Amino acid sequence: MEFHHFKNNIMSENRKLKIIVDDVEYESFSTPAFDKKQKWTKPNDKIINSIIPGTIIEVFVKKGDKVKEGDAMLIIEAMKMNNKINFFKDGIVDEVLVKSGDIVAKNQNLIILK
Amino acid sequence: MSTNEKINALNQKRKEVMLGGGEKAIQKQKDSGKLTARERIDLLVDKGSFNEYDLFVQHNAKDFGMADKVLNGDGVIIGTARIDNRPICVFAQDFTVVGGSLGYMHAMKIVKIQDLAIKMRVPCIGINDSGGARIQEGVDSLAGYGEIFYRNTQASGIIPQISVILGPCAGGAVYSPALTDYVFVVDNVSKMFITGPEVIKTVLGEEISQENLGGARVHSEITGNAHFFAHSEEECFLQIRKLLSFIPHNNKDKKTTRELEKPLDNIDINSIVPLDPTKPYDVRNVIKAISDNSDFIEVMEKFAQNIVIGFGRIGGKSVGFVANQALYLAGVLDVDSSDKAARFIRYCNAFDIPVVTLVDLPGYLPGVDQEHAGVIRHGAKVLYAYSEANVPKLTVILRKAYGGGYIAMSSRHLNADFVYAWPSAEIAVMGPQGAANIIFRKEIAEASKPDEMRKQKVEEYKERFANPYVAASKGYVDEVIVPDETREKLIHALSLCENKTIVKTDKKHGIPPF
Repeated sequence: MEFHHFKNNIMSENRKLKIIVDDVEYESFSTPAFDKKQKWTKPNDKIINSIIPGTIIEVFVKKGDKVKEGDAMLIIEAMKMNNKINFFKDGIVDEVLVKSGDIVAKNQNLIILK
Repeated sequence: MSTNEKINALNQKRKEVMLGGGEKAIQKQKDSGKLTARERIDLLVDKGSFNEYDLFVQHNAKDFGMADKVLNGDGVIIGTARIDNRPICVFAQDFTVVGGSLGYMHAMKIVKIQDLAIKMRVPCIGINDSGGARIQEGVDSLAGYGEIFYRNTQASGIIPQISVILGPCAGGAVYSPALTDYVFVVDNVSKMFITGPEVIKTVLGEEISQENLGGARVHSEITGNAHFFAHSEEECFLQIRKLLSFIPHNNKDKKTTRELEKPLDNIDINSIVPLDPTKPYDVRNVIKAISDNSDFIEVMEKFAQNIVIGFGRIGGKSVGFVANQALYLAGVLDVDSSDKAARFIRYCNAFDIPVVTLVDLPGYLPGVDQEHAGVIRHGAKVLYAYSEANVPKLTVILRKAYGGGYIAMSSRHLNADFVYAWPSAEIAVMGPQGAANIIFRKEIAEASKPDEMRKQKVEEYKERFANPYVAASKGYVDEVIVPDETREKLIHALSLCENKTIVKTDKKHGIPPF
């Protein structure tokens, strides 16, 4: 009884991958999970993104507002909960990109600080 | 009523109940490309060996008009049977009966067969095909799930538990399979998720099909929730049969040993591994070259392919193989491959299956994503699993064994019983390039031709350290062997391990990093 186990050994060229460990380049092939991996980028703490998808219930600030760490920013309804989101650092609001009633996706920009 | 009439009445009653949700529902099941629960059991077990229990069980729900509803078998079939003439317990959810939804009595039937499997020390196979909790039964259906999960955990490490996902398996229902040892999925049939596409769409606005969210391929390739992938239900049942031929049927079972069979002689083991440590090859060929009849059943074939795990036999004895796979991601340890290997090693340890480790890895996968995904805590699982395991541990270093990867892969230092190395082995603190760059940094920087100096220093390092003899000179490697001696060496080692003594402590259990 032979399953498909050893039948997929013919690797396609486009899945070829160089892996570098300790200055050595190894010839190898990629895996599905490796293909899905996203490149890391430095987070920008001036841009406040939604950490969860949901609906904006209320926005407490407007352009030009001076805000302090801990000040209320907005309420987002997600997972049947009204979540109050506070500022995590001091700053001046440069742009408010959402209004109450908006449905936002995860990682969508909400507010930009100066 | 005469005896004959009573017998006829019983047969009539049986016939009615065994029709499950009725002919229409059965047709619908077939139209969606699925077998019925009864067909599945028939195909899985030895012909005519199935004994069914609780055929006449009925639910006792009263709310929402349930009191008048008759649900045949309450949507699940339970019983005992034989596979390769060895007893097993089995349950199969019947999707034709209110979508195989799980009510309290449905759950109690599953619980009954789980309890029986634990008591009789036989494998428990669950075929899942259910829309989820029977909402009309409210918190009782949750109670049912909880009772099943509890028994999954109690049975873990005592009897093999196998989950077969042949339809939807959604919401809380996914956690019974997740707690079992092996999850089998079938392309286009299996669907597993906590929240389905509809909910995700309404709550999150993300549109995705059931197949893309939690189909067989997703769980085999991306999530690692599934251990065996099949193209059809029939293939899936053959896989289960094959798996059960390799693994003990309980943690005291010694019947896995078969007559010794030689590996197929079409593989030249001496020429599988390229000498250049940067070149890939398929380590499964090494496994085939040393296994009886070259027969090997791979577990999690499509997930974290940079490590290969699975069962074979050496000299008639079942063993678990753990092998770095240079073919994928250079065989590095990373978050997923560590997790995959560690759980497998713990499985082998629980069921007294010797672990044979084939080593060839450059180390851990570098990268922000790996560090942030917790490669430290996941990588630690491999160290923990090997260190904790007291089954026979045999290690063969085929080629690269650098740094932390060398330690992790069942090294002498984690108490491996026998460590062999091929002449192609390079056991060193790191690869020659990296090591030379650090050790000779000054010489290289100050040289008039730094690149040439680097090359020279790398060569020097290679010459002195990229071999098995430094480790062998310290006793970290027991024997340097010719590749084609490997099988005989392992057979000998396994025979020596037959009565391996284990020092028991009063430790309740450790705290592995998960």
